[in-house]
Amino acid sequence: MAEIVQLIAEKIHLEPLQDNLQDPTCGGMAIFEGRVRNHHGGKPVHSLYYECYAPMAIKVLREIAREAVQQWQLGRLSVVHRYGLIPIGETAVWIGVASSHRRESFAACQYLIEEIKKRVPIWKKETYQDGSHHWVACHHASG
Amino acid sequence: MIQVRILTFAALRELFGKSDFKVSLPNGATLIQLLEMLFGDREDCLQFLKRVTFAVNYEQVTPDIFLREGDEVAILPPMAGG
Repeated sequence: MAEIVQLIAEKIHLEPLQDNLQDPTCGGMAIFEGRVRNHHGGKPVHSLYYECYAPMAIKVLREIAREAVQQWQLGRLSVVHRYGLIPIGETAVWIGVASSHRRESFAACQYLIEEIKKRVPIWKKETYQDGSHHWVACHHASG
Repeated sequence: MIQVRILTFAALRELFGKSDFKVSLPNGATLIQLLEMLFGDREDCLQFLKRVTFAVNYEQVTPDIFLREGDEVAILPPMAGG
């Protein structure tokens, strides 16, 4: 089982993550990419700062990945979450899974992003175009 | 006495003004006692604490847990990854 699970401060490079999903036994692949968008609650967003509790965040990321692999018998998995200051349009989280059939990949991909939002100790602070800022309060408050 | 490390994050870190520090507690102290000691006179933080969860040594715990020498106690605001 080829598995990549990372928490990084640098820009996410997709090629190795996509390459990791190549597997002749897997006929289905699903990818979710979460990017920093330029608005929230009607206010124009300038940038997003992600703070994390790194040792616990990577531990929980690995736990969630293991759960998904076991529950849907995934053949391949790549999960990367970025932290630090992330400009508009750049990738904050990238999830890719591959399985024998499409149903497992869709379900696992959705499970991974929902559990990451709920359980991984990461917080984001939005800075708006007018210079004000706000800590996003809830895991379900953003996309 | 025991000594534990406290970590606060995000909005609570900014509100409380401290993020990584150590405190001494009596043997047998619980996380509840630690929270009273830290935030007992901080009404703003007490309001915020209604929405947080806790981890000791990277494991989620409930506030009635007994703390031990060298524990790393993290106070976690509602998570917002993704």
